[in-house]
Amino acid sequence: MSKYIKSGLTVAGLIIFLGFGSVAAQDRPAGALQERIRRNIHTLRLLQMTQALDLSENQTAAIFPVMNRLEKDKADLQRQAAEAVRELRALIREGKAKEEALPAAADKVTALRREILAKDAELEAFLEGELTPIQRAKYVLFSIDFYQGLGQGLRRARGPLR
Amino acid sequence: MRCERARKWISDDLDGRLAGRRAEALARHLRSCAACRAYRGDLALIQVRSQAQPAPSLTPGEWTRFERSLERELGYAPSPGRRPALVPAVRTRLAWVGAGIILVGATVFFLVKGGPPELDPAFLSYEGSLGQIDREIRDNPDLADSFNRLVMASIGDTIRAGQSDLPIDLLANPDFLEGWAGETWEDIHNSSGPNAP
Repeated sequence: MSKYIKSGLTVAGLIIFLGFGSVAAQDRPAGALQERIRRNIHTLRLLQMTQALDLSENQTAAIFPVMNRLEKDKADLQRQAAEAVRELRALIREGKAKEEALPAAADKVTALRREILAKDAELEAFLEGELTPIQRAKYVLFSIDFYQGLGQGLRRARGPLR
Repeated sequence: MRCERARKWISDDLDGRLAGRRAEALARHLRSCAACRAYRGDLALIQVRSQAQPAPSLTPGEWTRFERSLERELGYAPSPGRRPALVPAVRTRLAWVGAGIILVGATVFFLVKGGPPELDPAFLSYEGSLGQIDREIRDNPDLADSFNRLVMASIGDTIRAGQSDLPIDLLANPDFLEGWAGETWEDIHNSSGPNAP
């Protein structure tokens, strides 16, 4: 079987898998779908970054595991942060009765937020050591385009302008 | 092809004025450039929406009345066969009227176009982008599903467009696959991918 047919089958399999995932996701709790979307965005980022920066096989071998690990760490921190924010809101609603617990709950949210930002900083620092000067410059532009692309995607998902 | 050139050609393409090699080159570029695809999508949307707007139309009689009232406002009436020189005061007033017309025209243009492109600060960092998306989709499963489908379509597009350009076979790269949670994806990869038995 030729390389192209194999690749085509793989892509078809991927799309079917993603499609089933999307249908199944409708029956899952909202949090599960959000996590799935986050994973899909991460995958899209890896793919497009590889293309935009012309990453070599050695570079992907070094970069992908670190990006995957950091993404998992951040997803875990995001879950903890969401829970911490819920707790903080509940404490605020309960008013005076829980006033003494507020500083610790607020500190927890702040600390988690700092940890998430630190993971992003860790990735940026790591990439600086792995990329060539041209790739670093391309990465800056790629990142801006990618983030803006996500914004455009969200606007398109909202539907026609009202 | 550079994105700058592609974006000029996208405009021609949407106007139906691009054919042959240029059209093919543009199609190739669009397959591999998500930013230009998004640009084309936005431009097509603007075109569709602007075409849906009623065209401003004035009859010749209305134009004549408009010109006469403008002349009255400016305080001069041209005599037949001779064009009077504009005194500085009239020139100044004419400039103000011209500026007003340009301002109104620009306002109408941006209203029809949907405003100048905005750079949303929420989309200037990865976590900022994800946070903004998360806030919007959290209580809106339909939006979440639509957005997820768009992301998945982009993944498919990127893989298809990159099959000949990528320096490595991503689908056979264990470091890339590791980004996917769950064994299902590996099963699909093993059953139909490049490492299939």
